[in-house]
Amino acid sequence: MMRSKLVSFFFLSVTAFCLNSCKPELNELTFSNNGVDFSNYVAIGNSLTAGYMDGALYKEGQENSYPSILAKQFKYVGGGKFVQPLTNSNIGIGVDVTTFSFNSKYVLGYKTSCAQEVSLSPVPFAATGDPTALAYIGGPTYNNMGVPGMRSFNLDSASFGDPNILISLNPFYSRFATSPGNSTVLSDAKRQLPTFFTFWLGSNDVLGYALAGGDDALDKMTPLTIFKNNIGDALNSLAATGAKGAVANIPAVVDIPYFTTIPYNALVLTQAEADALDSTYATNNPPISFVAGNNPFVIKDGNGKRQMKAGELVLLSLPLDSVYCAGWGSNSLKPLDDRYVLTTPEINSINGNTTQFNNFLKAKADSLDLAYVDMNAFFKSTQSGIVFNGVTFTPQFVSGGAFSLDGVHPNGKGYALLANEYIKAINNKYGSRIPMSDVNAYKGITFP
Amino acid sequence: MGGSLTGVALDASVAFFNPGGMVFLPKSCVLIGGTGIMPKSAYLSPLTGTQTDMESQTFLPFHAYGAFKLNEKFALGLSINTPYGLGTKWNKDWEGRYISQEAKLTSIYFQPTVAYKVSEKLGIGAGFVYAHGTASIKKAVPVESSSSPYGTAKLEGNGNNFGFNAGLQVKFSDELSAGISYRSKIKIEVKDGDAKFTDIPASLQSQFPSTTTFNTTVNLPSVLSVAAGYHVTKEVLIHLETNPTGWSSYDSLNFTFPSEYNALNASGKNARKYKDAIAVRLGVQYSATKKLDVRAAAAFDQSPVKDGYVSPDLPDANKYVFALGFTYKITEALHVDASYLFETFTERQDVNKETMFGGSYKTLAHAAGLGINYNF
Repeated sequence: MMRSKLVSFFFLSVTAFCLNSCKPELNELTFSNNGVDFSNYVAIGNSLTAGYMDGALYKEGQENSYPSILAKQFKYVGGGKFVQPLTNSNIGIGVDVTTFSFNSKYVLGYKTSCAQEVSLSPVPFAATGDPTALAYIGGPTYNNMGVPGMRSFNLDSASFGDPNILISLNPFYSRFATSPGNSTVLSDAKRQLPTFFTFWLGSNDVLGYALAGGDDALDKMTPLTIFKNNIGDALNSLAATGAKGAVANIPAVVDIPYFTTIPYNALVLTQAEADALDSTYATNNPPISFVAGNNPFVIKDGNGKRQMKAGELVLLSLPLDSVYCAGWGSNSLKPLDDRYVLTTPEINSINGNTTQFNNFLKAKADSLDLAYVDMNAFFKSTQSGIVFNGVTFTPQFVSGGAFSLDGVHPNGKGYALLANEYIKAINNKYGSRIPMSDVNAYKGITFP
Repeated sequence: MGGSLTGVALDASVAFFNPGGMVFLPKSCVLIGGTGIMPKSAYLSPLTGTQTDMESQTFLPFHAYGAFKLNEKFALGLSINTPYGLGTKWNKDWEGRYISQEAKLTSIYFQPTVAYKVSEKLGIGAGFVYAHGTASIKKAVPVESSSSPYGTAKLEGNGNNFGFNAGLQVKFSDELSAGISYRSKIKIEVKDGDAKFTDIPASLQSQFPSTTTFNTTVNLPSVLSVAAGYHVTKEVLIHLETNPTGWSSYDSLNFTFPSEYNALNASGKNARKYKDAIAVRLGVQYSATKKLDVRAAAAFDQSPVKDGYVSPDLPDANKYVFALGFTYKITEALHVDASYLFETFTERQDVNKETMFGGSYKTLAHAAGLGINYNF
C-alpha cells in the first residue's frame, strides 16, 4: 500500500514538473515610444544620410542607409512607411572630388602596382558611373531627404535642384526634387508634415575643404554666420511644426580613414636612395634630409617645400603609384600638392570650425528640445575599437569593418552603428525604448 | 543524493565520491547506469525583445562504479564516468553567431582507488584520476564574400591528463557518519587540435586557412566535498553535502594557432574569469519496504560565472535541483535504481564585457536516470 502510494506520488510529481516547466519562458520585452509619434519620419542630411558608400550612390547602399535602418527600428514603436528615393542601379554614381568626374561604386578587388605587386584594393566596379541612377523620379515625396554634397546653405535653395543653373545644381537632389528649380530640400521635407525628423548636416561645410586637402582654390569652409543662419532657420521651422527630432553633429576629420590610412612618413627608402635624394635638397630651406627606412613626404608649402611633420595628414586620394614609381613626395621637383595633404594649420582651422559648428548644433538642439547625437564623440570612441555582439569595429580602412571603400562613408554595418547612436540619443532625450539595430545583419565589406 | 554522495556508503558510487567510504560497504558491489539529460535554454534578445530557443539536444552521461572488498581492511575501487559533459547549440544564423554557434565539452574520468579501514570508525582511500577530455566549438567569422555573409570556424580537439583523489569517511555511530573527499584539478592540454575555416573569401584564406591546428588548455576544476549522513530512524536517512569547486582555475579559454596565423591568435583569447563556486545538497532516503528505498533531494548549485562574463556557449546561472528516485531490490543481490531530476537555472540578465553580447537567459533541464546494482 505504502509502496504504491509512493510510486504514484513519484510519477505525479514528474508529470506536474513537466507540465509547469518543460520549456523555459522569458518575458518578452516591451518597447515604447513614450508618447513620441514616429509614424512619419523624415531624414534630412547629406551623403551620410543618403546611404552613399563605396564612393557612390547605389541601390544596395541606399538600402543600408542609417535612416532606413532607423525606420526599421521605429517600426517597434509605431513607425510608419519609410520611402527612399532609390536609384535602380547597383553600378551607382558618385562624384570623384579629385577629378570632378562621375565614377561607379568601388568594390574590393586586386590592383597591380607600378612595381608589379598585386594587392587587395578598392577598384571601380565599372568604367564610369551609371547615369540612369540620376534619372528623375520626383513628384512623390521621399522620407529620406539625404542629398550627397549638400551643405548648410543648399538646404533651402531652389537653385540647388535647378537643372538650368549648372553652377549650383546638385543632380542628387534634382533627381527627386518635387519641382526642380522651385522646391528646396527643406520645403520637400516640410510638405511631408513629418512627426519625427533627423537632421545631420554640416559635415560638407568643413569636410569639402578637408577633402580638397585644404586647398582654398578648390574648396572653402562655410563661414560660421552662414552656417548658423541656414541651420538655425531650418531647425526652427521644423521644430515649429511640433515634430520631435534628433540633430547629429560633425565628426572630426582626424577620425576618418580617408585622412588616416596613409601615414605622413610612408616614404620608404634605402640608404642609397636617401643619399641620392639628400644631394638634390642641399640648398633647401628648411633643410630636408632622408634616412634609410620611413621618411616624411616632401610637400609644397607656399612657394617652397618642406617635409611633413607628425600629426599632419595624407589623403587617401594620393596616387601611391606616383609615389612609388614617379618620385611624388620625394623627388625635389615633385613635392606633394596641397590637395593631397592637410597641414597642421589646415587641421587646426578645420578642427576650430568643427568645434564652433558643433557648439551651435548642440545649443540649437537643446533650445528646441531635440535629441543631440554626438557623432564627433562616437567617431572618437571607435578609435580604440567598438564591439558589437562579438565583432570588433575600428576606423581602419577596409580591415576595420565599419567604413566603406571610399574611406569617408560608413558601410551598412557602420551605418547601423550610427543608427544605434541615434537610438541611444533619442531614448535618452524622450524616454522612449527603441531597440538597437542588429549591426551584424547589415552589409559590410565584400572580400573577393 | 542530489548529485553527490560523500558522507555515507550506500552503494558503489562511493568509489567516485569518496573512496574512504568503500570499506564501510557491507559487500562488494557494482553499479552501472546512465542518464538522459535534456536541457532547454532560451535567450531573450534586447534587439528584438523576443525569445530564441536553443536547439534541443539530449546528453547521455554514463557511470560504472565498482567497489571490491578484498578483506576486512582493504577495498579496491574503480570509477568510470563522465562528470563534465556540456553542450550548447544555437541556430547557426542567430544574432550571437560570432560568439558561439555550437560548443561541446565531454570528459571521461577513470578513477582507480584503494581504501583502508584504519579502525571500525575510520576509512581512508586515495587514488589517481585519468581524465580524457574532448572539446569542440563552432562559430561564425566576420568576413563577407559574395557567396556567404560570414565564414565559419570549427575547432575540435582532445587531450588527457592525470589528477588524484583522496577521501576519508568516519562512522561515528550506526546513525551518524561523515566524509571529506578531494579531487584535484585536471589540466587538459589539447595539442594539435583540428581547426577548420570554411566559407572564407579567397583573398583572406592566407589568414583563415581551410585547415590548421590549434592548442588550448581546459582546466577541469578541483572539487572538495564535505558531507554528513544521519539516520533519523532506521528507515530515514538524511544526507547533507557541500561541494566547494575550484572553478577559478578557469580564467580564460585561449586558442593558439601556428605563428603564421597571428591574426587568429589575436582573436583567439576569451576571458572566462570563473570564480570558485559552492553547491549544497540535501537528500532524504526512506526505506519504504524491505524491497524499496525512495529518495528525494534538493540542491543549490552556485554559478561560477561572474556578472559580465555570461556567454551563450554556456549560459550559466545559479541552479536549483530537485530529484526523486528509488531503488528496487529485485533480489538481495540485484537492485535497480531509477531517478528523475529537474534543474532550474535562475533567469539571468547580463552583458558580456568582452563580446558586448547581452540579453536574458533561462535554462531548465530534465534528466532521467537508470542504474543496476549488483552486490556480491
